[in-house]
Amino acid sequence: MKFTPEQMLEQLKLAGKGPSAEVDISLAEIESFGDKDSLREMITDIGKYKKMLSERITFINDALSATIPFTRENLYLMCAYTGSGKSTVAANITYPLWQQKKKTLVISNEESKQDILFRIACLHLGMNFNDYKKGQMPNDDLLKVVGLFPEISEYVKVLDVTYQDGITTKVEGIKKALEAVKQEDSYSCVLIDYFQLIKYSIKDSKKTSYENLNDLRVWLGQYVKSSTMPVVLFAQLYSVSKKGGAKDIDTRIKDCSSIVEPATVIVEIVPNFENKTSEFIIHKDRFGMAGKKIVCGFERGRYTMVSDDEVAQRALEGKLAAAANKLSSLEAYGNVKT
Amino acid sequence: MDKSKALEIALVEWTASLKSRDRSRKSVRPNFEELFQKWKDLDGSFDDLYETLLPKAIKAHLPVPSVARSMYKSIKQKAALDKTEKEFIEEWNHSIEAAGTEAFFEFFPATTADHDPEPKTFGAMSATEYRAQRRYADQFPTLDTTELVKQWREQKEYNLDVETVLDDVLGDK
Repeated sequence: MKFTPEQMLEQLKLAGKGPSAEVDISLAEIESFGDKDSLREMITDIGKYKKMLSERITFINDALSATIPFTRENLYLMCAYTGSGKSTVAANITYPLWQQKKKTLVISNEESKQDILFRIACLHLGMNFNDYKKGQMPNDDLLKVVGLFPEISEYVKVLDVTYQDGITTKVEGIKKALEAVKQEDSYSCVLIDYFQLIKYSIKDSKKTSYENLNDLRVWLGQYVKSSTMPVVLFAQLYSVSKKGGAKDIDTRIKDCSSIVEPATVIVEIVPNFENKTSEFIIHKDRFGMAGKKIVCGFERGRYTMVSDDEVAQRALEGKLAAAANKLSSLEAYGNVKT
Repeated sequence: MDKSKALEIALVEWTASLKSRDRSRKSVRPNFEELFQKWKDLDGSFDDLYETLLPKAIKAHLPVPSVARSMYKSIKQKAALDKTEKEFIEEWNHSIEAAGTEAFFEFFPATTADHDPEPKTFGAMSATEYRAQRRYADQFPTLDTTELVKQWREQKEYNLDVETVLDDVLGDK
């Protein structure tokens, strides 16, 4: 088969070897800013943004939704230390979206597709996902959970690490998936769990993890500016004590802390096991709430709204429970004579 | 200046200086040591450097392929060499990587990320780690969301009739 010069160029371009596109910005193009077409485009985008706000998409619960509007053109970076609730938060973001019949794409390198659907179904049925993981869920309950899979998967689409031999751990795989849902225009949210695991490249296997993460970071910055839906990216943190209790979030983001630059909203999740609450610390946002935290209750896998009084009550109960535990362990060691 | 930026700039300076340096076998380790000392002075740590900047430093010290090939040819012409060009270059690259990595570990002893020998009593955290996390979280004031939630729930007219706005703004433009 013989290629024409044009076809050859096209093939080279597809292989990523084509000549770099010529940069061409004319004065006429610059001057065209403010003409009817560009004004129409800007006003239409404002309309789309307002439309998404008017839909009042729930971001975990009403307290968080009211504080941090969940809208297009935003990259939400959700950070947590290992085991502090990233996957639970992912399920809590997806669950209300499913209930509102909003399509979500979940890209997960952490949990399997069935576990993701399982978590959402458990939230709906008020069941404990960990019972399933520990093998303590009765078969009847399990059947109820699995029975919801068809309904959930109509709106929650999952690409997990088994998809196309781990393409979701590769920068190019993430880009393709995000471009695909952007074209579709029917998706309300994309979740990526989690950033540090996207450390490979298909095109250049010699690139370091850092280089790949940095490439993705730069690309995401461009992507979100014209995204038709919010992008939620989870990131793993170093422990607080390892970084000397630093309040600054970027020193604690593992592997490629520059991800803070394209993120428009950065929230850290800190669980409080004694009070059965979780704190959502806002490190960056566009709405003037940075430096503050929102305390949510944690019940049956869900982050609920709680009042200050309830938090105080839970704190007291937590202290009492901790004291009771201490006492019983002392008794067990025979240090206290009853 | 941000520490990570300063560490990266030190690497850029060092990489640029490599062009005029002796890069023969005996100088490989001292070259790396000079960079690692700079990083140490800038308070760099194992975690700051190992996965991010060390691979870049090693890559910068590797011979460019054309130099490696001509070196192979010149050695082969002078003496019997029982290696292929590929083997020769790979061995050369590996020796640089080994020298750089070995020196790096002397400057920045490896730490096990987040290694905590205490039993995990709070999720994936030990009691010590958990207390540190609690102290950290307590620094942030709690936001009273009552009013925000009320406003959010009451929001009715948030939509925008784009066509009307376009007509109003653009008119006959």
